[in-house]
Amino acid sequence: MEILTQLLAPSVLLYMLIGSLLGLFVGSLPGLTATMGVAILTPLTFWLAPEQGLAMLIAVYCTSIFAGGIPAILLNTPGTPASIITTFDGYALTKQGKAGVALGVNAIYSGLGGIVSTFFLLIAAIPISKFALSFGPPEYFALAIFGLTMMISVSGKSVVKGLIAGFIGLFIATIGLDPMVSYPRFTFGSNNLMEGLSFVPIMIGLFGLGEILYQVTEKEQIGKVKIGKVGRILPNKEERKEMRKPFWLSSGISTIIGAIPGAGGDIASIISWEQSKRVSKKKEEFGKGSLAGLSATCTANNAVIGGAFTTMLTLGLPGDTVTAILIGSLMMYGMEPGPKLFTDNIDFVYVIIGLLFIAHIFVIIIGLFGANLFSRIMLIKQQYIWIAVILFSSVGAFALNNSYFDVWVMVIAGVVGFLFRKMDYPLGPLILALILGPMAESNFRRSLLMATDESYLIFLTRPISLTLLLLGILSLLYPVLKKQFRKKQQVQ
Amino acid sequence: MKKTTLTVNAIIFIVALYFLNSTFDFPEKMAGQKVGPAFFPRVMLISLLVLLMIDTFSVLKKKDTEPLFDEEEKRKLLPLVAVILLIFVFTFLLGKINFILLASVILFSICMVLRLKWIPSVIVSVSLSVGVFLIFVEFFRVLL
Repeated sequence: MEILTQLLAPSVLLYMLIGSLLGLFVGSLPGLTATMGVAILTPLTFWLAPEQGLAMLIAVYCTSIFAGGIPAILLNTPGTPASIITTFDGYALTKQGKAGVALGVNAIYSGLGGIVSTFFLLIAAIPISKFALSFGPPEYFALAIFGLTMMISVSGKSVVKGLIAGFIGLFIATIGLDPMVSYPRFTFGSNNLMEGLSFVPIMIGLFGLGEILYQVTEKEQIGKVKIGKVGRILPNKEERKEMRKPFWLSSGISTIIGAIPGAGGDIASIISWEQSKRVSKKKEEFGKGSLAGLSATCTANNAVIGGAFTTMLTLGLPGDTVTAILIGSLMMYGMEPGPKLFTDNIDFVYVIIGLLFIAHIFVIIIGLFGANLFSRIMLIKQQYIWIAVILFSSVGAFALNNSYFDVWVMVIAGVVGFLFRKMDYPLGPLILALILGPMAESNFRRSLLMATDESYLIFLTRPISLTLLLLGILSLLYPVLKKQFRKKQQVQ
Repeated sequence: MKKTTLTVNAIIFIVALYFLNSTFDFPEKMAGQKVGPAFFPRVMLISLLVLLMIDTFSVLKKKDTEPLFDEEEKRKLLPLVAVILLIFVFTFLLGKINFILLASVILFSICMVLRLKWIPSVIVSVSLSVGVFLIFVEFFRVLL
């Protein structure tokens, strides 16, 4: 009852509404991503109560992922990477004069996909966290390595580049006082570096400023937007029947994909779309304006969220870059995601799950009622959004600790983020390494203290840590071997 | 792209080598532990150096076909550098002069660099600066 009172408090609902509107704005504008939105807003939520702050951030996350489908449907330009596949059927429907139904399907199935995956989180979280409670330092070290390798293997074109980004992140995480004996490392006598480089300014720089600098050199993404009436929004009974099967299939697939660190909505939506096409009776319509195809991708985009939250809350492993930032936000409130959260703060876990449910209900309501307004958001000139992001990034980085040093960290991270994006270095492993680095190091050293003769064999003699390490190695080898196999096939 | 990758790899390599050298000043063992504060950063940096070498060799083997910036992007390099410089100036002057004045001038300058119309630019720059000031200073009590 107390949780329900917290969830339905007017202030929480108000912040959720603000977050939903901001998320709609972020997702509707191509170039602004959910990661950027959540990163820039994180410092703003620092002053709010945890449930209010998280209401806003979760709403931004859920709504921006859904809203990424709007320009995909109306302009053939995905608003977020997760909505690339939405363009296939969404834009084809717009060309057929069915933009309204496409927007309606996007809102309803994104929201429902999110709700189904949140149910999965509700059911699976407690058993997984109970299992994770049996983990000792060797398992936590192996878990950190596993999370990192998984993200590296799926987040970029080159495993080596992913590893380089990961090791840079792990190195940055070692700056400051040593986690075991508080010995200062790479601090050069500066007080600013004693506690290490703050995670939030780096994140704002990489995903906020870095993204804007990247877009300054990019070609104009939005053409002239024509505003017209979108027509009927709600799908009829026959259309709903057609979308039932792809919806359930996509919800299941995407929730599981979301739980894998590094695998986000983009991967989930392509797999869901392909699988829905495989089981469909009207395969030939896929890509040419199929409502079944559209519902599969829209469901997938938001269904990954519940999966990503499951690994984040139970194991402390982020499922994607947004949940990586949300880990930082939870830490800001003095809570550490992982099995301990379920023993120390179980009520708050339920608050988060409740917020996810409400955020997805907001997605459906806002999506359906605002369909006619969406195309107007896209009339805003991108360059004005850029300068707003630049200002919010700078002030946001400063506001967290009232530190000008943090603003410099953000600016440098922004320039590095721009260069890394240009050179195809994935940013996900870097940010994940920053989070997992201290966990990996302290648990590695604790494990050695636990071991007889401080032997490294401790990681190989415990079944869970051994399994996780082997899975980590396999996840790195798989893309390399796949590439070699393809090369051989091409030669033959 | 090839030249840039090699240059960036070389820079990261030198920086990593410098930090690796610093780790030899850290204690090898401390408080009865088998591994001390030096161990973890050293392993990270050695791994980074090895990976950079692998990447450099693979880049050297490849034919360079893709430029870092195509022709259209090259035309936007000057505005990009100007925007970065203006952000550096903003960061340097932050806290030294009045926030609303500083933010308005810098944002307006960025608008001009991006070739936006000046009247909407003035309106957006000033209203954004005042809006951010009100949100952070008046509402959140941040000492800007």
